[in-house]
Amino acid sequence: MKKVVACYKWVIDEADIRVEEKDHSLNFERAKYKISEYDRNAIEAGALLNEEKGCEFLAVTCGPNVEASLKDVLSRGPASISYVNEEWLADVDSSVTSKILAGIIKKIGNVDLVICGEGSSDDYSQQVGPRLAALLGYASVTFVNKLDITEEGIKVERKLEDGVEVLEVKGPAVVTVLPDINKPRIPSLKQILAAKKKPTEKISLKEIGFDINASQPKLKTLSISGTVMERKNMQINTDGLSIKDAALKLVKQLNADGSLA
Amino acid sequence: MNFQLTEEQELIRQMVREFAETEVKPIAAEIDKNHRFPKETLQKLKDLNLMGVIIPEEYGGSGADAISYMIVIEELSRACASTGIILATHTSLVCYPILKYGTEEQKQKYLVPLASGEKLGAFCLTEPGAGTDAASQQTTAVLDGDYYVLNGSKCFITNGGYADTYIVMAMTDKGKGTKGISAFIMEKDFPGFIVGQTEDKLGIRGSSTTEIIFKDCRVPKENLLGQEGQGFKIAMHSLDVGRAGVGAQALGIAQACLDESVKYAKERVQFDKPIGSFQAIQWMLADMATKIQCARHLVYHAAWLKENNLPFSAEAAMAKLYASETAMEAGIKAVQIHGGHGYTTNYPVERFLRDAKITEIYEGTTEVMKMVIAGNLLK
Amino acid sequence: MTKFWIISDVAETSYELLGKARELLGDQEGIITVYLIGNETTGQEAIGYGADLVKLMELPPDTTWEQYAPVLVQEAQASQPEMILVGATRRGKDLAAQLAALLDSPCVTECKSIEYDDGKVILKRIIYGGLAEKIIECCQFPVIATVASRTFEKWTAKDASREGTIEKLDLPAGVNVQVVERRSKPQEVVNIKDASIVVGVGRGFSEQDELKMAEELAKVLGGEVACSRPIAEDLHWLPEDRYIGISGQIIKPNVYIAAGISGQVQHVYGIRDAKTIIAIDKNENAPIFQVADYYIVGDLKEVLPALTEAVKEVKAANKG
Repeated sequence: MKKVVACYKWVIDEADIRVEEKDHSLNFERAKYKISEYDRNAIEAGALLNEEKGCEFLAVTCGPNVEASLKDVLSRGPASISYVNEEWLADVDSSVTSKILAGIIKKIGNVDLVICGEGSSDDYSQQVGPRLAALLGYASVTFVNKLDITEEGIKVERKLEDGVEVLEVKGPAVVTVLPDINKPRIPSLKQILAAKKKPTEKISLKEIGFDINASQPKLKTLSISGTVMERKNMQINTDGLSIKDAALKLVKQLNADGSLA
Repeated sequence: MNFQLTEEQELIRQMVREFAETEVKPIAAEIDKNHRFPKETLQKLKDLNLMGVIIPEEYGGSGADAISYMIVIEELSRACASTGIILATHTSLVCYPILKYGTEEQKQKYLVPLASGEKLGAFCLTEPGAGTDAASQQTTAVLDGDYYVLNGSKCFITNGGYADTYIVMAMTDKGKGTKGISAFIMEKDFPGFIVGQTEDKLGIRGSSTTEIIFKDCRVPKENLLGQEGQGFKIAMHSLDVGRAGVGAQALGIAQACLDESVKYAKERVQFDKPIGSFQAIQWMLADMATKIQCARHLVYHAAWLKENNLPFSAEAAMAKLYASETAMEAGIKAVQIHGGHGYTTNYPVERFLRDAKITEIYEGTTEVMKMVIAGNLLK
Repeated sequence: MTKFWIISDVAETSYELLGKARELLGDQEGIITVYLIGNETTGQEAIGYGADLVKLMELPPDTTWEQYAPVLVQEAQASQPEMILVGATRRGKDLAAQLAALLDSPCVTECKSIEYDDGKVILKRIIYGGLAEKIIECCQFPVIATVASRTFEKWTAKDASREGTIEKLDLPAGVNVQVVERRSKPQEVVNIKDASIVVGVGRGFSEQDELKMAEELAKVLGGEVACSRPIAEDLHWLPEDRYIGISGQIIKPNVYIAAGISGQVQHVYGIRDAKTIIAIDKNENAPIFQVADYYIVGDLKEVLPALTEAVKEVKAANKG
């Protein structure tokens, strides 16, 4: 039986973030956490490999306050979750995250396939998957929209800018999946109620041999501010102007701006 | 004292909300407009194990708690009040009484398929001459060998025509008043079971409301629910659960009114400002939010009492009374905030207002709720 | 900072990254090495754009391009670059992250700007689905940064006769990823990134047939039709390479016309650098209007044909 692990990140729901008008700072007051959108596809891909191919399916995560995510994730398919919960993980970069996840996966042992989302919905650095592959010595296969597992290894299709690559990987691999690989399920009530019966394992940094001093984040965030678009916001069809006249007025304006050339 | 929902209850809310947003809300206006019963939604509710929320797993349900059930009805109704009442009727008034009063055989035969979502239920109490005065039942059931023979007609039956299993109240002994009423489990295929006229309603137009007529309709003796003469008690007990459910439905409608109003107040610009910056609008929003929160506490508290096997009849009545009045008020304010737009079907608030009205009427009117509450005080 | 590397599977992007590297290098003596897919001619072009050393790679027929990662690690250990700029294609981002892990280096994805100041590299990127920008400081070297095409300008001092060295980079044998098949995208597909005018269509169109109105307008404007994500991914009315947004195409046209697009941040991310944004929607409260320069509130069926006629009229007048 193949062992499949999905990695997920517990992120702030960007829909709850407000940009303050006066200084463009971000207001997180009402922000709630969620499973990173793309990781829902990774979890679903693992759940399907469990249901359709009989793979053993587990999930791993790390971060501050990830304990709040466990039941939610467990209701979506994995048999258990192994996690590192540390406050200081609130502001780390992909290098730290991938080292901790690699440590957890090594501790689980004999993992054939690691599935990640193509990026996280907060930072969207898209690094953790390939970094994990490099750290684990697994093959890295990114941007996958079709995934199948066989006795020999895995077969995937990856979508690239210039077309599709169909690949076969012998031996263990880390795969990052695109949102169109599947439609993440809405867990059923029974799946939610069953989540509390599934095991979770809290892992300390010591257990995975992670040295905080040797593995500090390599990037420092200087500032985060809301993006502003300076636009004219001018409605053309005001004062009872007909659509026809408004269209003409707009095109004349573009012509005057030199935009039609 | 703990006002915090459990993590599980929060997850259930998240799940039902996502389902409601993606599958229920998109068709809500259409089923309202076309008076269309959303059969496809029932299949999805079944797949999510939502057809028997409070029924134990051994009887086909999910075995969740009563507050979770309130959350399910609230969230569904927030997207579509018709869908909310279809499920609430099925659960509170059909699954629940069979669980509470049914024999093991009845539970296996009827409750398992109902709670697992194979079958849909309906509840037949109201008659043309027995509305608020539910005790003056005219439908009769006469024992004839191994069968009861039913004659009479019921009206305003939610899920009528679409339901497979019906709980029906009928007089087995007219001389005993309410103590002469008995409850029966009936199948829509029983000979003499007739689905009559479908009502054309002001609101909850996606739900079906019909007459049910019995013409020498023969019901096997073993389909008597509880004891002969226990029917009225069964009905009233079921309605206690049902009223909390209608409270949750009203709560969902009221919340939808507030959600739409807040959104509109931020977007709609008049006098170069979003209308939400005007105190007139702010006061309406504040009133709505406060009353909704109050209604929510009443509804969840009634469910909490039930979950803890404490008396909850008066509290369920309070929850329904207050939540339904809140839904009406929220509907009226939401339309007002939306102005002319709110009066059209371009915005959903006119539907919310139409849907809200029924919550003050069915499963006991506002006036009956006050009788129940006062009755408890003066006992 | 004097030692730069540029890695790209798209030669054109490497020229743009060369422009940035040359700018950061300024008057200093330094060496810029470019790793790219191409031949001698491509290599010479890169030298013209400012490369000193070019290492030619291939798209290996039987395995993925990212398998170059271990080779590049050896090269990096030997030549000790301080900054590695990687073209942010999907292949490029995969390779960059692997390289970063193997070199235990910082990596910043899809930078919008890169500056160097007193031993520190300051980078800017967009986060939270386009909602915010983050300024990052990095003082550990090598710094790896991936950069999307058309972010930086090519070197203005291009000199076709510049001299440099061109070498070949070999790929090790015996890798565990096998290419079974490569299917390229149909060639007739235009690159909407090249269009100076783009008409974007969204859920405001109720049926596919109505897209004709947008196509008609794009035609008279000499532009292209693009779309929001649901039009391509859910409805399949247009091919996927025409959808604009954070996970789709990011475009910088002169004029972008959003027709029936509500204006989610993920879509807006893809058009934020358009010079002029025009929006048409029947919902007067559509968020797209907040990011538009000009907008018309109205029915697409009325507005689009009116615009088409107006363009014809104004263009005719321009000629006359």
